[in-house]
Amino acid sequence: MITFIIRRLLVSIPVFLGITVIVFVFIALAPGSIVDALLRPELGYDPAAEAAIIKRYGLDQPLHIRYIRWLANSLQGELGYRVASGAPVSSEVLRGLKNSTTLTGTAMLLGISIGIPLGVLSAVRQYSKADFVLTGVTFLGISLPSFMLGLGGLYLFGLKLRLVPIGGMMTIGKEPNFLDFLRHLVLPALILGFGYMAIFLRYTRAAILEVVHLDYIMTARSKGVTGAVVLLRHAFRNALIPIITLIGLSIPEVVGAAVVTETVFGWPGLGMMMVEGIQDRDFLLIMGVTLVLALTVLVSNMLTDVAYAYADPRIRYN
Amino acid sequence: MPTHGFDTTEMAVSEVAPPSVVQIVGPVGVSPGRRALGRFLRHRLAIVGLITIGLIILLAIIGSQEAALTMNLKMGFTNQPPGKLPGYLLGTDALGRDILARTIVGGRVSILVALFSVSISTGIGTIVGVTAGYLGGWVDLALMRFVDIVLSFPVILLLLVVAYLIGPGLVQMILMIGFVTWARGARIIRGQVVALREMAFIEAARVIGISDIRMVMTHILPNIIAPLVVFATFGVANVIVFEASLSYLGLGVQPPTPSWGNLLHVTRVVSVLERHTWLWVPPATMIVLMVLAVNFVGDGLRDAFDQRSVSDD
Amino acid sequence: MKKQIWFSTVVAVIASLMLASCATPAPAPVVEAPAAVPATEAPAAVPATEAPAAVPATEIPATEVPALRDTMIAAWVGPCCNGNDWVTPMDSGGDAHWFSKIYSRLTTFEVLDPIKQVVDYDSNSGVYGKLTGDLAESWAVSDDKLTWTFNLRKGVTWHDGVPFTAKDIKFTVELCFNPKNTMNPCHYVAAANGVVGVEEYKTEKATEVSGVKVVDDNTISFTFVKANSLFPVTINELFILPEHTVGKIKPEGMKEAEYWKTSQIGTGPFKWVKWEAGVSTELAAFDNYWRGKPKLAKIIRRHFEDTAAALIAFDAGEIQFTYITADEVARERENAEAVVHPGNSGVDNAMQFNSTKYPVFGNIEVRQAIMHAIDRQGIIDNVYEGAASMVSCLYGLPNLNAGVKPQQYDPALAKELVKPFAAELAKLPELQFDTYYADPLSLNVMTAIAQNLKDNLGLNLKPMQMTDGAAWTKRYYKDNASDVSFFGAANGPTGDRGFSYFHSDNAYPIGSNGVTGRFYKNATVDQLLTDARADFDTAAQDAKYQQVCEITKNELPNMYVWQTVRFHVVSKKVNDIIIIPAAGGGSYYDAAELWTVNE
Repeated sequence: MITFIIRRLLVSIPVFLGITVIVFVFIALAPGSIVDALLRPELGYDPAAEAAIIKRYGLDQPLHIRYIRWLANSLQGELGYRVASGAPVSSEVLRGLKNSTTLTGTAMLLGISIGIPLGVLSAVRQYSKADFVLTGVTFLGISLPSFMLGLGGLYLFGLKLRLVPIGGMMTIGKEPNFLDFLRHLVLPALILGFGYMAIFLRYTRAAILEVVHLDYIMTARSKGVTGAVVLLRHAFRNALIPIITLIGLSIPEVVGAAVVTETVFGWPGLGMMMVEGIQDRDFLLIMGVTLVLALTVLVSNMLTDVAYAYADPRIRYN
Repeated sequence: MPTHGFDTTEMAVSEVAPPSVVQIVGPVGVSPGRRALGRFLRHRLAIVGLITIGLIILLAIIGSQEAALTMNLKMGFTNQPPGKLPGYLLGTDALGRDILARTIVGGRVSILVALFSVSISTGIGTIVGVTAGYLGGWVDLALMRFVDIVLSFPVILLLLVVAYLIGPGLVQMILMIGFVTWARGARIIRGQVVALREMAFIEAARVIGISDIRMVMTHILPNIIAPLVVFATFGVANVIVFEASLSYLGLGVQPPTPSWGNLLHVTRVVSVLERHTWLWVPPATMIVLMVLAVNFVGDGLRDAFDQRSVSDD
Repeated sequence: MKKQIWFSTVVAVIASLMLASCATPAPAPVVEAPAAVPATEAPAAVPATEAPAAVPATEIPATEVPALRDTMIAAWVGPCCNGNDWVTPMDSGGDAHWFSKIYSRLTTFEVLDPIKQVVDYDSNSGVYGKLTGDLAESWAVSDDKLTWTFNLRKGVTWHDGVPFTAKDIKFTVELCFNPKNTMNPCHYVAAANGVVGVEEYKTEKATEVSGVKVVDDNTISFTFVKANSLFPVTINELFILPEHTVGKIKPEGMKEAEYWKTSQIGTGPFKWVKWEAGVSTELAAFDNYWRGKPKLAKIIRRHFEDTAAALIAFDAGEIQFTYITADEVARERENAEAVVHPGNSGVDNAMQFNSTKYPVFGNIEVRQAIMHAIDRQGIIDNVYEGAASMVSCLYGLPNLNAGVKPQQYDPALAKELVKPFAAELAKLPELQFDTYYADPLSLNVMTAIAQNLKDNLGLNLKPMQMTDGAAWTKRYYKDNASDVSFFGAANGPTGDRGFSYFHSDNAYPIGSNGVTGRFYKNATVDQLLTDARADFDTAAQDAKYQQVCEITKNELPNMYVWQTVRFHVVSKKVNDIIIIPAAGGGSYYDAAELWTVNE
């Protein structure tokens, strides 16, 4: 086990580097550069400004030199400054990370806390009306694109029903307060949460069914409700394994998946930041966000694999 | 999982679900295939789903491309609600085009993109996953780390660059989506294969001396068909919604070719969202029906393949 | 047992990770201005005796005086603005209307009839109105017409109390021309390109721009190499920056300087308070603003990524004004709480066919045919719902295009004109019709154009919205890879705008002439443009530009189709606001110090 972990850690380093190289190359492959992003088409063209920008960001250097320079700086903690605002990339990325994690983390919590009980219910009453209704409603939330759910939700719950504020993380001009923050959080988290709800519902249901469906019915009939509940608890423990793995696998998404929702709601997280970075061809910002993404993926995948290997002794990696 | 966002871990659980999920060839009696079919047929929602899908596909095939693209830029023809103009059952859009025709043809595009891109993604995922899982060792290590790289790649950047390099167009879009979604499948398949590899009957076969290829074809593949099929089914539903999200970022199917995704894009104008509801309700309804149907079919398939979940035999 | 412990730990770790991030809201680091900047001298305040005679409270029933809010929150989204939530006053083409809250310019425009503009909108009304002084009170040109002297307003101070002088102007101009300045591009200084000494300064042969002279604290002069009658107009886009603060920042570190995020100082009605990244920027009233203390205490710019979300926030009363596209206007006109403010955008939409890739488009007859083959009025009426007006050439202002009529929609004539080229046209493949506009309205417009061209000329255009601006810029400018493009071009504020597009001295990449390979050279046009610049007789100058208009309409170096109207929507609770959608946010007096918001 220990050797496995150590070996994984060692391998992660070249993987990490590989990710940075490939992303760096891709940014260079993208059509246009910072120059093209900064110059506004409507006002004509300014070659002197272009020359200055190229010089400033070293865009005329060969690609490998630029990469090495970036790598050298990053290893010293110097992630550079954003093209758009000149703010330091490291603080921007940390800010975005915090905001993204809050949003997607809450969505996941919602998904778990609603999806799992619904899944249990659905399993216990398989093929019943309740089962159909619950699965149907949850799936409704994942069958429409998030920008539509977002705008529609803002329109319905924000404008028409005045239940939630319209976008942003806090009310502008007011003192930061937790309740206000929650009111801003609830709609985007709910929309994102639908996806998690659907999955956790589905898999809880499957896992429980797998073990106890028949026995549950029989036990309930013979031993009464309490016996059945005990059995259910046992079945639930079985469901824990896939659920935990699911959580582990979802963690990377917490970082960068909610691009559309963040954009619609104006939630300043990493997803939004990545979009802005790409629009600006801001390679320093994109690399900064990628670092966070890559780190999260590597760590969570490793944890999951370790958990898996630990769980089933037959599956050892040699 | 924000399945309508940029990722799906639909089948994630199967990665570590105990091998009991994997179907093993059982004792005599009704063939397992037959039994699976029986279980599927019991899942009423799945049947409904199947029928719905069939109907939608049928409609998509007979829809008229020309009707979907013909504009009518005359006063009194643009933005007409349903029933106002004779012959335009669902009304017209801002350019006087027939909403009904566009919705139907849009379905054709969306479904085609979904089917093909999922095929590609499942194909690549299976090849990589089986290779990694079966061969193990450093091949496994290398391949799975490559999968890690793909998973940590910022999706939008990838899509943007790929779109730029290979151009706009349906075929390119299919390739792009396939390329973006295969990594999950690879991880799942590989997990399954690894679980299988350690099982007794594989050991037995190895002792007998069956060649690797034979092993994969006859023992491994049939036993991963189940999670594979389920993954693909949910994948189709996800891609349909994913394509719509891509339209929001300007990366989806390019108009004037309609797709359910870019038809929904009109909801970005509040006026349309609130007043010209006939512009987006038809494609929205179709997407919902289709995704629900596919999800129910997927559920049914999974129940069917999972031996112990149904109270029969 | 061990397994369970392991799993519990994993769960615990993951759960605590999530809890930790969920625990506290994560507001952006609030970057605040240093508190209480002391005024260094007694402000030129209105003496107490001038305070309006207080009407005894008993005489006015409380209900008649509307309670006023002290803060306005608004969204600066759409084509006016840069899309980033933070830009600098040296940035090109965006957010000018936002920056005019903080900074002032030498001159500005007075909107001619703001009320009529709203109520009785005429798309041909001059968007730029009348030139009026801002920081400059008056200006005059020397006898030899080469030197412009500006007399500056007295008593103007910066937000920190330091007096504004002519040195600040020279500093701003030189900073913007400074090749080491990393705040690129400093777009608005281009108006001063012809000043003596600029070239030497840009190439670092000189340490100052010799043609800009600080005559005394309140007088500054600009000496040109060649006479330029339009300078007072074109300079009105340059925001004046303070030497005593910005001068302390090294040009090489200008962009990263914390100053821009914490304590920008200007002479405008509102001063910088704080910026919350990704969320909002806050300004507070500057008591000593020379036009008078602002009635509002605070203005907050709220950041939106999505224009529909901004509009919904407006409808919900969370913000007091925002920008809307033409397709949202009908609905907002029915909103009793809102007033729609239309205005000329000052931007023409234009099409360009790449004649390097497809030489057949190099023929004038083909281009003329295309202009006749597009039902421009039909598109304006049905797709824009009237929110545009045809243009005959680049110039949208009536004094510049008088007497020049746009090509009429005439499919028969179009077919006639292309007859000699029919074979070549038939060989054309499907052409990608690209644009950087991202909105559904533009897509519909382009689809309609494509349909017209298909029906009338058999051309196959496929609209392609490249919402990624950088990709479009590269495709159009650098690679010359576009087939057909649809884009916008600022058409004013003076006819001198045509200089960059049409004068043969401005071959791409120096200017914008010939971007897609078809370099335009017409000696008459060259002469007209050069002479017009030096012409101090308005009527004669206008006549020259009208001629340029006529010639370019016939020769079609670019194909300008129409000038769009753009819209803002303002809450009914806001009083005394003048708001027009001029190009880039424009340069005009919007009465910001008079704005009030009812409760």
